[in-house]
Amino acid sequence: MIILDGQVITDHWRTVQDDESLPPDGDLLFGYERFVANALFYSQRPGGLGVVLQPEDSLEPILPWLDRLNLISLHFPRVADGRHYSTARLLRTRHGYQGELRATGEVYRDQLDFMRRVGFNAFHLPESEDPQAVLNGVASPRAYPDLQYDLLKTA
Amino acid sequence: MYQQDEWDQALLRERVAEFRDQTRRFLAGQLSEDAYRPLRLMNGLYVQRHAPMLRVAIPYGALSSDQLRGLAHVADHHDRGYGHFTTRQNIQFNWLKLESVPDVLADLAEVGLHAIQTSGNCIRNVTTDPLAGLLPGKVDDPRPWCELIRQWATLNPEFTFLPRKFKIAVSGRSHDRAACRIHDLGLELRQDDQGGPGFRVWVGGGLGRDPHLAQCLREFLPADDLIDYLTAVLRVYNQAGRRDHLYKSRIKILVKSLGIDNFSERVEAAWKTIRETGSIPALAALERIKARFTTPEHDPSLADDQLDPVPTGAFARWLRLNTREHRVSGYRVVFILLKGLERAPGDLTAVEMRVLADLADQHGFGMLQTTHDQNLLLPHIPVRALHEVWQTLDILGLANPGIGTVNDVTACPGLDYCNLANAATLPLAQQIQQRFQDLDYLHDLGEVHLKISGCMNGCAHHHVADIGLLGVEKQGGSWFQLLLGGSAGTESRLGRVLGPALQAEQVPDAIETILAFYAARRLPEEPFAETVQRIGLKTFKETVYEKHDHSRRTSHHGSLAHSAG
Repeated sequence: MIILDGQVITDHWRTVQDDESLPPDGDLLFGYERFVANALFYSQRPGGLGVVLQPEDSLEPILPWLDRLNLISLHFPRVADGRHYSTARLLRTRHGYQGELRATGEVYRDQLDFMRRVGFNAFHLPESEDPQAVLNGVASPRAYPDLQYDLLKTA
Repeated sequence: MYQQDEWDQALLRERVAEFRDQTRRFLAGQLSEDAYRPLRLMNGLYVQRHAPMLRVAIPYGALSSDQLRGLAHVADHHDRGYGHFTTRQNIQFNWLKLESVPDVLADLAEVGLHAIQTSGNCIRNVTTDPLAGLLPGKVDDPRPWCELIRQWATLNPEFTFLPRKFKIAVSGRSHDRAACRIHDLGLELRQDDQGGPGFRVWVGGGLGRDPHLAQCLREFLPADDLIDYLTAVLRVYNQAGRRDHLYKSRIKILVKSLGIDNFSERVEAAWKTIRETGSIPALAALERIKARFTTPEHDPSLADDQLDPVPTGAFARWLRLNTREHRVSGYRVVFILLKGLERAPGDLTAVEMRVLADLADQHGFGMLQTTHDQNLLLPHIPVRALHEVWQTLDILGLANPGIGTVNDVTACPGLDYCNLANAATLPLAQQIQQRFQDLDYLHDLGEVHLKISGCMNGCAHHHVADIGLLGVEKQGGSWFQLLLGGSAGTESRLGRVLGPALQAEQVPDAIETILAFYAARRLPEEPFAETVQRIGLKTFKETVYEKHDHSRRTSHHGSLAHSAG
């Protein structure tokens, strides 16, 4: 189940495997290394462009392509691995990334409130999650302390 | 006391509802054990030896009488009638039922208390000097800064899934009673040459299995930059801290592996970015926070009050050991020693909580404070009420004169409650207190801090005690390693291991020997840790182990005790 901007959507992205030949068209989502090695080429083809980052991947090589990227997918190998909360915030603040920012991997409804506040606007959840409960969770305004740089408040 | 904002109340209500739903899903089998674990930890809930343990936050140790009554209510209705104060100024309940925890949290929220971020890999409760703003000459009060950090840290979305837990302490100027150098991050209030407010920043301290004293990260941080700078430190840690090994994931390991200079460069770079893209000025925020702190209105007409008649006997002894001079004349600071032969260190019953809450209302502006040594204090007691307060405490068995002495034992719950412990700490604490019943001798010895941890995680902070005891795994029974000469104050020092571990039964004798040796060899007014430093650990070691060997050979266990006199 994919949620984008507070709605359940049908995913139009196609994940391109590392050893797969380049599909002729469509919105394509690449792994980090393949994307970095071919960014100039991929950026010139039509269709949506996306990349998946693992927590250890450096942002530097993708920074020149932020305006062209339509989707950055941040993968959470474990719930407890919180590195991508910082990645997301840096992308949205320091680097001004405007496109879709999607959380994938170990993503469950109980993390979404934290995720939306650092700038994620899309979530890939297991089909077992109750869609209505999830949507209520990401739609409702909640109370937070004042002293946090909060993307919900600054938006 | 800080008067909570509207968002505080709303936040607590929402979080209780959220945790109620999470617990319901877990009990219904919709959430796995693995998925539920981080959620319950975020709400202070551990699974312990007998029952779940809930750790309730007492932000920087400040507690109102109503909040103490709220804790009494929880102790009565959901636990076995008592709670346990910890070395980090919090309180734990050890006998709850999992399914009732959401109700407990709802009850706590009624009095503005909660268990958010008291466990798990996040920024924990901020601690400070319990005597902040109370003693003569203590001009600055770190508590508004603690409150500011609390607001920044509470449910901070970027820093809720850190590599490991993160503890911050804030101390006032000149005398560090907040133990800054044993925290992940320590902030020491100070001024620059022009008198501008700021902090000295310490990083990478911590005890546990790999004890380190914090290193200085920045000699002077302008106060206005505090939030941005904290964000920078946490961001570097969140991104670069190790996540592959439980024991290597604290910030002290990152600082050690990068080196303080490299770590500092990374922080400065992250800080620069934050200043450019979303700075939050701290001083303006502090002014808003200060406006929500109520300060007690001391009665100037009490300034000349004297104790009349001149105290004698037990009352005089209690005054001497358990109270301190207040910065406002006509008042004193009153400690409540939560130790004793009938009491595990830090334990307080619901009945006692209610009486103390009434005492605080009647005589002390409804204010109480928890300490790092598992005691409480009544911060503002008029001199004219001292006798009555003492009488009430005495009836409760809470007037044992012994603050700061050997009998003021700090101990973790140990084998009796904790899954991690190697040794039983509570019976030993009791035996030690039993041994030292001569109050004049205790008073003569002065401040000697004794701390007992049941395992190398070191919850009782045995590394920074004058005499630290560490429970070790050995042949079934409870054995303890002795460490001497530690200190967490301005001159922080880690205690050093005296020699091979001793059986629990031998420990009181050994302590008696150590104290007698100290009493014989110290210079006038010389604190314990300095005597150890001056004459050397070795001389203490020889004294203790010679006697111990001798007593074993002659199978006179008691001889050690007598020889110590």
